[in-house]
Amino acid sequence: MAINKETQIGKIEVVGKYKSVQVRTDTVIIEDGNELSRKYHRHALSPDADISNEHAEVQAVCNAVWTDQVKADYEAFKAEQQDI
Amino acid sequence: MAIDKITSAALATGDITFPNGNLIFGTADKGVCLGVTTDTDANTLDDYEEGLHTAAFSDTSGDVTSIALNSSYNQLAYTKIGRLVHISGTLVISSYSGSWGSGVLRMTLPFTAADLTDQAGKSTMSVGVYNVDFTAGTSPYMQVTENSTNVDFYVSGDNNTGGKCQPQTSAQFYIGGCYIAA
Repeated sequence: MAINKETQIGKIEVVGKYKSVQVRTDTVIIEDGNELSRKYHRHALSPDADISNEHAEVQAVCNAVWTDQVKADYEAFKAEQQDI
Repeated sequence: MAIDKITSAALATGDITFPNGNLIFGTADKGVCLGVTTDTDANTLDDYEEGLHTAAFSDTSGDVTSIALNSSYNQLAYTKIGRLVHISGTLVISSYSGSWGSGVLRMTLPFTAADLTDQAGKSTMSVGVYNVDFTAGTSPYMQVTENSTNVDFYVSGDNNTGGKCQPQTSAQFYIGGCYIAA
């Protein structure tokens, strides 16, 4: 009987006007090939986020959708929010 | 032969009972249309998820350069039902570097906030605090900005005297509330 614990990138979602990247990390317990449990952990990344410690797949998505225009638009949005 | 539609004639009693199992859709993002007889997005419950979010704090002005959370008190529970996200939990600051200036305390969220008409996606959540200095007023609250992956901490006050929450070391936050996800 072998029980293993795995961490998987369950979902990577690009949402909203400023291409926020939402990441679901799944912790999976597997016994002899059968999944016993799956727990979710979530975090969301804005275009100004430090992604150096993110999973390679997450970094790839961020770099693909966070164009210079998206980053500039997000910075303008942040400055606008400070005035409200 | 594949069944592509179950009509009322096929369901003599009008109810469906699953004797031992769950209802599982073969395609992601499909859901249950409630209270209507046609497929309408605004009536479709198409998402449910529960899990944890490891919260992180920051100072919007950058005067406080780092805020560390006690690793035993840095998790928020989330439940997402449709577009509504509820978060709850207790967070405790273990240390921070720098001095508070003009910025406000900011915390990460598990999902991006929605962008709706007339800032209808903007919402507040409640927070109880301990070891936190208010620059003005009382009654701290958390404000979610549309399109954001963060929530900011403010303090209500008389007339225009609202202020900021500026936590000290060992500050505690008791968090609960809902917002609408993108």
